Amino acid sequence: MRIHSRLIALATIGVAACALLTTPALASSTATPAPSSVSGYLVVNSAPVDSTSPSLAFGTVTCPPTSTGVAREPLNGGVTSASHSLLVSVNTSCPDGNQWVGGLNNRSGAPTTFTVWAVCAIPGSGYTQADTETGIPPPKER
Amino acid sequence: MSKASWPCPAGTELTGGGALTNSLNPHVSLTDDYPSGNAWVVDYNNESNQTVYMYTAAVCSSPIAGYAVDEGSQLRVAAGVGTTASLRCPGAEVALGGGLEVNTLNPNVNLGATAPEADGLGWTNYEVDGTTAAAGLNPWVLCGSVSTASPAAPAS
Repeated sequence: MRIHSRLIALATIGVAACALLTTPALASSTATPAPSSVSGYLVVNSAPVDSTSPSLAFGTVTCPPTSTGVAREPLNGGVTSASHSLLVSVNTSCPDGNQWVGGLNNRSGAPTTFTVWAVCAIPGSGYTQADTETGIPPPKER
Repeated sequence: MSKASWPCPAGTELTGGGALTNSLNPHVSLTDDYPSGNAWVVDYNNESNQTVYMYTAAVCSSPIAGYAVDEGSQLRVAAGVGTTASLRCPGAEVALGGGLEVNTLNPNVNLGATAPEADGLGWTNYEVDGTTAAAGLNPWVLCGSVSTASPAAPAS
């Protein structure tokens, strides 16, 4: 039910899932691998995304493969806005496979643009994206 | 304001995270977005007139050399303005992720931006305070060592 309702919502807004709805894996019986340095590190950003007012707009940026064709995945990401209005705020910042999804609320009364960012790297053996669902009631019900 | 968090599996380390909701209403905003232990935490303000659902994500990795989660000193975001809060990684380490923690429950304090710095050495946030009271905020950055070796080509 949760997956179904979210997919409907995400189809509506035109972006894919934040991450597959998964449960954290149980502790493995195998030894934890020794720490290793991050390979293929790269910070990428999208082209400016238009944001009208009032609206919630979405953008994405994709982690590119390395020059030798090794896939990269996002370690984290985010959103920056060209506006400093108090009525412009981040709605969404989340991973989706090899992309980062950003969403910006604009209630400023003026158009602006925003940029989606991702920190990309070659994923280690334990790389996962996992998420959980929580309901947020409107103010009058809290 | 509603808080949610999601942990990384045992044996892995948190590199980042974030959140999404099922609402298109521009009155639903992230307040903050930050690491706590091995979990990712978000707070949402829902000033719409409907219940919405948020999906909190954690991005996790096998252990990373030089891994550290650093919290910056608390800053004050003054009433009626926006404030930038940044934190850099020490030495030659790079920013794997980062975020911002805010200590107010006021729904008019929201996250204006959160992103890596272009050089990869830090994380920058911008918090907007549309209230008449100041709020405290702490920037976070997750750091690690980066390999300069060329990655191997995938097997064909």
